[in-house]
Amino acid sequence: MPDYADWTESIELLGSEVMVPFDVQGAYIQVPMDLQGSLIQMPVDIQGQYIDLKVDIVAQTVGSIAIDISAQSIGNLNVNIAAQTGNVNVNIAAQSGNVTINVAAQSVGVYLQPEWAAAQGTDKNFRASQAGLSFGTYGYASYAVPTGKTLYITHIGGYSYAHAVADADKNQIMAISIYDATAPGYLFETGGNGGAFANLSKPIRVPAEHTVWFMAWNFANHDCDVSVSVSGYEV
Amino acid sequence: MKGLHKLYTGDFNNMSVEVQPDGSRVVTLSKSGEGKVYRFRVKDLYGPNEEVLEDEEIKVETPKHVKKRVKEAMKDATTET
Repeated sequence: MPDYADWTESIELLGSEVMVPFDVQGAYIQVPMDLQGSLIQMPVDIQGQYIDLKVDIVAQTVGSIAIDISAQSIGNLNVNIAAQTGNVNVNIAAQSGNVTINVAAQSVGVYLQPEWAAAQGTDKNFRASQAGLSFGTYGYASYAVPTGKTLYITHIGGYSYAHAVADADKNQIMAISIYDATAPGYLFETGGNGGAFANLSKPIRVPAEHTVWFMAWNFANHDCDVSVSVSGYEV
Repeated sequence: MKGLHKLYTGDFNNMSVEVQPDGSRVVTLSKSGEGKVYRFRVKDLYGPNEEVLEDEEIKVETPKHVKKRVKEAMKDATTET
């Protein structure tokens, strides 16, 4: 014998402003719901031992969807976003926490942006060289980022060696730098003896229509041949 | 002038610049999957008196003898398995 009476009730509400506090208690509940309106606000608080919840949202604009799931186990959580443009922001603000991503598929690639750019063919690689530079002079490559594009630089490296054999065993002090010639200023500098390089954990951003110089300097007290290489991507 | 056009539109993946003793630059541009390399010598690049002095398109092609060896090796690998 059931503990509750059986109910089937159709409800149709028409009004300019409708507010329906909804409290249903039963051993077995089915609630098919179809809401159509210019503005729908529907805070839903569901607490149960077992929940199967399918949500299909079709709207011109979706303000925000906050999902907080606290359960001992989750069967499947499928998120399928099919939009021409969009941003998916995952914001984790916790004093301590673990983010575990476990991809168990036969064929899956997880790329960082520079790697993805190389896979997609939007990577950019620059190299400049000049022979016989005297102390305090430089050789460089220049590049003007096209309109509508942004250049992100993730790596820079370079080398220097003596121009003359007689100087080959001396210190080959050199520097490499990135210079924005449109908004004059150095964006990055490093140097060393014979060469230097840097992998940038935060890419250097060069906006559209800025001309950037990739420079290799000689700071040895004799003539040197220098080279600079820069990698990144442009989107 | 196609090379210079590629440079200004950013239609390349790799850019190599060799600064010449007379101050001109030999610029080489290539793009993944494109069967051509664009090389040109330019004076005053990005400057008001920019001038392309030389311009050439180089076809990128695997030598026939290498192609033949690769084909043979692939055939052997298929036979062995």
